[in-house]
Amino acid sequence: MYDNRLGIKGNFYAGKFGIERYLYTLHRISGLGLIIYLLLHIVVTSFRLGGPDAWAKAMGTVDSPIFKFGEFLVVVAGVFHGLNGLRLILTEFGYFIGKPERQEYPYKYSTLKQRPLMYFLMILALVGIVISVYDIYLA
Amino acid sequence: MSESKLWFLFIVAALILLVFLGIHLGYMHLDNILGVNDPLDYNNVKTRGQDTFWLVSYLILLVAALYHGMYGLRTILLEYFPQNLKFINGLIGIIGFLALVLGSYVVIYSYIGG
Repeated sequence: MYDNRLGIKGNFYAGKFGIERYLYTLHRISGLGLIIYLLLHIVVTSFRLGGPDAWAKAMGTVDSPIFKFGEFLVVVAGVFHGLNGLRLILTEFGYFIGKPERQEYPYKYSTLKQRPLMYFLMILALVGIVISVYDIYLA
Repeated sequence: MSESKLWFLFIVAALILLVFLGIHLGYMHLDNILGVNDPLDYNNVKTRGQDTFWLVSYLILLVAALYHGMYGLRTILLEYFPQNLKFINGLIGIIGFLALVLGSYVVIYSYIGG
């Protein structure tokens, strides 16, 4: 048991922590969105059992600009969460943070060492999001 | 199971999701670019449901996504309500179990010709 001093507020003000702290907040928000979507998705797709009419009715209910935008947000959340999560797993298991070394000034801590990977994956996420904008709204 | 084993399964599920959710999201949302014929049309949904590749991938997705998602939700809830461990475990377990039963029933029923 521990004292969660900042509570929910701690997610939105990272003080002198780096950009990774905000990625953590986004990771959490996108994760919450995805699990809520997953549960709805399982229920909505189960209408498939009712045959073509029930399916058409269910798909008609979610066929509006708001739901389409929601679907787009799910793709954005999925792409971001997946690529940022890949970074978390890689750094968790010691990749892209260098070998342990004697600390000498100026200090190079692991957050700095993983930053190129972070930029690379976030650019990749952006590319994925642009491609999905193209497919969902423009193609 | 120990917390560290539960956490390790959460990471394994994440890696599985990277592959299978990638396929699933790509197929469903890049349909125009990839030239997939309306993935939400009933007949296409039905054809996919009777395909062994999709059956297996749906079941893998269902288990991995529900485990990963519900474990993550549990972590968040426990962070804000650390004193409610038993209640949160029960809630997460029941919701996850019901979703797993409904999801696998739909997928398997679709495969055998529903």
